[in-house]
Amino acid sequence: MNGDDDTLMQHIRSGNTQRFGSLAERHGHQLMLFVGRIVSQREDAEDVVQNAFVAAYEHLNDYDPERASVQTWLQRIAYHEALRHLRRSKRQMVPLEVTGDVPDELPETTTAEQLDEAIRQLQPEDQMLLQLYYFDRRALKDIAYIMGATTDTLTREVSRLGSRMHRIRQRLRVILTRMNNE
Amino acid sequence: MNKEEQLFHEALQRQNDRLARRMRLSEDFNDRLMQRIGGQKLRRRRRWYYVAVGAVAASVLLMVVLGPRTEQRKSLPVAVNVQPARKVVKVRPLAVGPKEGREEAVQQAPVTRERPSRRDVEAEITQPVNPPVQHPIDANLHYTADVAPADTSLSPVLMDEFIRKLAAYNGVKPEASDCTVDSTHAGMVCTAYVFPDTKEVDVFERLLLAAIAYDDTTPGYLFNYSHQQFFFTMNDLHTQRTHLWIAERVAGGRILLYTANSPIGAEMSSECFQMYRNKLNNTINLKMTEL
Repeated sequence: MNGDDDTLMQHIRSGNTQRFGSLAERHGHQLMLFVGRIVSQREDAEDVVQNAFVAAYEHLNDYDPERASVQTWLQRIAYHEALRHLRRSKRQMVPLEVTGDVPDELPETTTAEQLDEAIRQLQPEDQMLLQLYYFDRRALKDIAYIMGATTDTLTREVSRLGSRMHRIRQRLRVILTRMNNE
Repeated sequence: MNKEEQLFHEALQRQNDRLARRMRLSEDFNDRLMQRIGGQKLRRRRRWYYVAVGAVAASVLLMVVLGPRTEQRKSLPVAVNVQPARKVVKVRPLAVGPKEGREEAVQQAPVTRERPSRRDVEAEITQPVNPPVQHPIDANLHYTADVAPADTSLSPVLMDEFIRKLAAYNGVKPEASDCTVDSTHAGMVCTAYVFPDTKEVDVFERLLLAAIAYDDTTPGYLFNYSHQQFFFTMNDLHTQRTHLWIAERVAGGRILLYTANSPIGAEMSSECFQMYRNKLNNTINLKMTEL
């Protein structure tokens, strides 16, 4: 896939812009699912994906195969388009704060359904982080790239992601404990 | 995979299953996309226009920021170290001991130079040989001196610095606000400036020029501008803070410029700005009533 993508990118960059349609066909669906993790309305998510492809087209020369695959590069663009959409829709910012006693582990009796519900109470960006880490099993380096780290800031961002993951897990424990007590 | 990871995977699997059922692209997605891309040539030209304007704005910003400092530097006494010129015709390699041999460059073949004319020697004597030894301490020098070449992004702090200088130049005093709407605004740092709304100061135009120097891909970037209000916000990932600037034309021919920053993700509403603006307007109304 990577090799095919890179060849496709070379064609597009050399002026064969019609091949961009093939790139969109190849990655459109996967990108839609990716964006859907942040933008819940289908129509909005589709707009975001479309904007992401247009932005990718405008910045074709920014793609560096040494840094990331085409898929990861597209995800990076789509992620920021999705965040821009959230900002435009004036989503209320809820700080990720953990107060009170934090249990060391998830409650013993936690089920996947409960955890699913608890995750949905997190900020979309944090849900995305969990998806990329636990479900897609992406390396923190890749996640940091998707979330906007540059070559210079990559190491620092990776370490920040580690501590952010820690806080998200803490918050989930608090939410689940509260849910169990109710 | 341990138990917790397994649980996370199952929970996220449920979410992805729901997404797979709902999130489908429309049949005409690709057609619409290709149509939009077909019209991109024009947009590209416009983008270059914005890049050019941005470059000009960045230059103006740098001139405004560095200009007064250069003036300041000129007025400071500078120690000038004048050394008499020496008539050296041949430079011979130095006999360097092991302790002194720091640079290979010293141990090079003899270099023959042309004998300097009398006029050259006199000119050399009258001019300082070494550059000024002592520079005034400049807290902002790192913006120009130590920026890594690869990092082309402007720090949001520059915007604050620009505003501070603009205010100082026009004799406007910053007023640090202790506004705390509620506990969710903890960690928020606010400053307010009240500028005269005159063509000479031209706050809106200057802010606009400074703002467009920033790349719109900067995290948290949101920029809005009208005749009445200027609104600009973005995140600084280095300091993990969100910066906000609001300027608004208020009663009495003035412009209220409000700057704030708080940790990224923390609550940062414009409530403090509104409170300050109301206070300002009330002061005007009271004065009018007194008159």
